[in-house]
Amino acid sequence: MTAVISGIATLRPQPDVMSSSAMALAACEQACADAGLKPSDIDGIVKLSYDGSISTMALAQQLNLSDLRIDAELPLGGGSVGAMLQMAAMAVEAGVARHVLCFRAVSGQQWMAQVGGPDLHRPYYLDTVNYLRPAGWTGYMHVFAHLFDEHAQRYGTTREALGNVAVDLMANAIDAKVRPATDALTLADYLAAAPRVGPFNVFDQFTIVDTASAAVISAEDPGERPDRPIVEIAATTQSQGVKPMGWYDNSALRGSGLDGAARVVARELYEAAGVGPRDIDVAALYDCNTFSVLYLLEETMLCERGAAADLVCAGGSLRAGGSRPVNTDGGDLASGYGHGFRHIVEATHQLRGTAGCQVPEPTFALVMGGAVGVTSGAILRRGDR
Amino acid sequence: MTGFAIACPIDSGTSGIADHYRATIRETGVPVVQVCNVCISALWPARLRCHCGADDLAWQPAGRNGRIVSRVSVDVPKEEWERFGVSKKMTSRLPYTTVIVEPHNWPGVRMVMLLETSGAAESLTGEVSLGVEIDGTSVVLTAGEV
Repeated sequence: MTAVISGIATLRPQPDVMSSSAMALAACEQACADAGLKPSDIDGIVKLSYDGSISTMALAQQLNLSDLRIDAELPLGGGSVGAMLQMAAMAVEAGVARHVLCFRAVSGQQWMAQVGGPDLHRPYYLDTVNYLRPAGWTGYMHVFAHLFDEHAQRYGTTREALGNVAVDLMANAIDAKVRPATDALTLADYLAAAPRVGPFNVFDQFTIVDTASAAVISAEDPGERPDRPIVEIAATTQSQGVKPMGWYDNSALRGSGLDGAARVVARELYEAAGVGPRDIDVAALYDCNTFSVLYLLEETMLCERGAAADLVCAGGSLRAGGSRPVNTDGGDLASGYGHGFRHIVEATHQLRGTAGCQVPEPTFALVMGGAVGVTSGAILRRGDR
Repeated sequence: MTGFAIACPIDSGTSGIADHYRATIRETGVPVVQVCNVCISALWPARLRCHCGADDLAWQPAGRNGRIVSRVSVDVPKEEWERFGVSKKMTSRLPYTTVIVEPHNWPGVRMVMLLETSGAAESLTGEVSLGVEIDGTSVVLTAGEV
């Protein structure tokens, strides 16, 4: 049996109109409706432990679920996207549950306060209070700024490469009608904005919004929507990397010969799905910043190490009609930070053929979580009825 | 004080050894790394167990010099920067540069330090001296001109 993504939903309310619990609940209801299911058909919930919107118990009560056979929280943060599908797929494939709900709700301002606080779960990341902050370390962008510098020394990567990512993803967001055409960005606009932390300026960081997304993972397609293809979860996996150290200490960039978590995840996904990078028609890569996209293009082997800057320099490479479609809804970078969860929704839309910026007839989609630290991913496949 | 090995009180946990780390630097006046007495590999930030599994860990001097691995210049508005919990006394230093340094005595270890330079940060080559600024209970590792 292969688990399927039977329902999806994304909410994008105006800022500060809906609370995170209201967004989470509405997204979950809409994902059930999209699957052709009643909320009472749901018998499992998997959520991120970092999601403070609503507890699984409260959600079960509000949705009037008859019972929960699996109720889990995962601690991988931005690396959770594949792990949530993995947990849900294991539950339905083992026959523990039939329909598992996964969700992530993000209130932008609330998240910015949370991400700036001490984090005991990830002692080498933002609870850097003891070892990193005394020397002037700021926040998560600082990690990526140091990684960019190492990448630049090794491969000659420039700010133009970061700018090309920002330009392409903004164009995707506009094409997908998430952002107005007046937000269009050129490389000249990008380069004119002053760097703040390392190479990064305001266009390098994710867009702050209120948003919630949900997905229903089922043992088999409920069959309520014969009009569209089935989306199968072909492979999932997660990794901590071969020898996990601080997030700024990156084995891939060090050239140590040890694989970081993202490369381990990618290799295992291709092997489990029986495909290679060339078979991936569309990718949804964690994009809390522009460098994350360049790094994940390389670590997921969608291009060679050191070749991501060349890949994006053509302009338009990452767009739906480009040579390597990535984050076709604009991603978290241009369309609003959803902690990477919305990548599941967009990849599913692509395989169904219902995306705002549709890639022509894709068969395989790669979904990839955070670039550094613990991460996970999935390969989704379009199945015929 | 040159050459020492001061046992890490690992039973005091992550916060406890961090307090002890700062106290050791205040006492010795030099940056330290954590060294495993079993496999002699060095660790930074400090851990409760070495990669080899041993719990016999001690603070040793990081050494006098090192090599810059990467550098990041920071020029963020003050209020935004304070939200990330960086100490207020750092605002007087804006813009500043952080560096990741590998001490020559401990190849492979990567320490985060504040770059101290009389001129432009870019003018410094990869070679730096390792130092420390002590102000009350706070401890700032610094990388300076050789």
